[in-house]
Amino acid sequence: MNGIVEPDSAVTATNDHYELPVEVFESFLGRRMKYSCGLYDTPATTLDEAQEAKLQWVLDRNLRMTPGQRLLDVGCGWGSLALYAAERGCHVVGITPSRPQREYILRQARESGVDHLVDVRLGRFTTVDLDGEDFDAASMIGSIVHMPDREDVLALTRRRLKTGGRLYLSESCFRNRRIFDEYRTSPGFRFVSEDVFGFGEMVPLAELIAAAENAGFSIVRLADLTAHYPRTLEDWAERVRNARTRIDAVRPGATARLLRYFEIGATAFGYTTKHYAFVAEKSRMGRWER
Amino acid sequence: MTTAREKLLDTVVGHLRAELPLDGHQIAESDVLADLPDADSVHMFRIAARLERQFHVEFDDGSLFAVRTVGQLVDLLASVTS
Ligand SMILES: C[S@@+](CC[C@H](N)C(=O)[O-])C[C@H]1O[C@@H](n2cnc3c(N)ncnc32)[C@H](O)[C@@H]1O
Repeated sequence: MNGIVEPDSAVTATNDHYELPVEVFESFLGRRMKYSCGLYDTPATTLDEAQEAKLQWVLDRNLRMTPGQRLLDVGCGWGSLALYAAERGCHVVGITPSRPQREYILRQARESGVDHLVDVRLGRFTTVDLDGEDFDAASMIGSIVHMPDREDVLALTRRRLKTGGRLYLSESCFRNRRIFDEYRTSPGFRFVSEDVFGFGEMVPLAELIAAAENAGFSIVRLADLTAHYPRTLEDWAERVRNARTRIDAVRPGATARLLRYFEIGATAFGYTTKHYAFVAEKSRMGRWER
Repeated sequence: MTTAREKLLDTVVGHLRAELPLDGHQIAESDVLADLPDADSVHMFRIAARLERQFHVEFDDGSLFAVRTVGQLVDLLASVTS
């Protein structure tokens, strides 16, 4: 993607993908409907186990959330983390510009009896009204790639956190600036970022860290999750192949596009791309953990 | 009777006196912090840290760096302790 992209046009572009009928995503994302990397503890770990493990890791080990606390999930997808957190007694406000995603989450919340804990606001994050609200924790799982205004996004997230509050952010990144310059306009990356997602600006990790620093955060934790993404993509691909007829009936040609995206993604990890997670805290001194 | 704001002013002045050689110096809300005797950025951060520790708060960086006068520091403190 070249030139400057307005945040509003980025949302319009990404909604084309995220507003595909939910059946498409139900056919391959697994029980939790999590559209991001899982955590595969053993060679035998299944997709559902990996996503469950990841949600637990994010909530307990990274955000250290306890029942009754408030979570802001920016770019909440179909509510994987929001619903998981609510099931553990946390209050959640999810943000997504996709109407079908919001409706899906609210329906699931009612069905599992946690609707009093879950609120989903529709819109682009920096335009959603959160005045006067504060949160113990925030998350951005695979969503900042869709936001060209990432510094504003992180500054606003920090303002909404209580002192000592934590942000968990995970994203796929180019391995470094040189590879970014060389590959960002390659056909494979343009296919994924423009044709599949409408707008995605993958950058080196240093860019995301710099944006978090400029927003005033302390970086307290960093994890390399690269090894887990190819397996996630392979598991999705297998499910997509099995649901080919159903998916193509909803959107002709969607199967082939998804499979091409997964294949490019799985091949690139470790060579041109990485998948990182970091935790940023709203505190001067940070927090050191053994 | 002292108002809440007067109490905060007293607290701020107390920390200023502890950090800077202000004997005999009358402090007014309109005083520019950087013009107080011996004041430099190290002292200013020490005063901010004393206040943050005493009230268990962290000032917003943008607001903290924008503070020029004693009165503005009291305002900032009031905004996070109210
Ligand atoms: C790859 S999905 C990840 C979803 C979810 N975090 C998960 O792990 O399942 C990215 C999400 O970011 C959302 N998104 C894109 N642009 C956004 C914006 N400007 N503000 C808020 N959410 C946005 C998309 O609609 C989508 O829900």
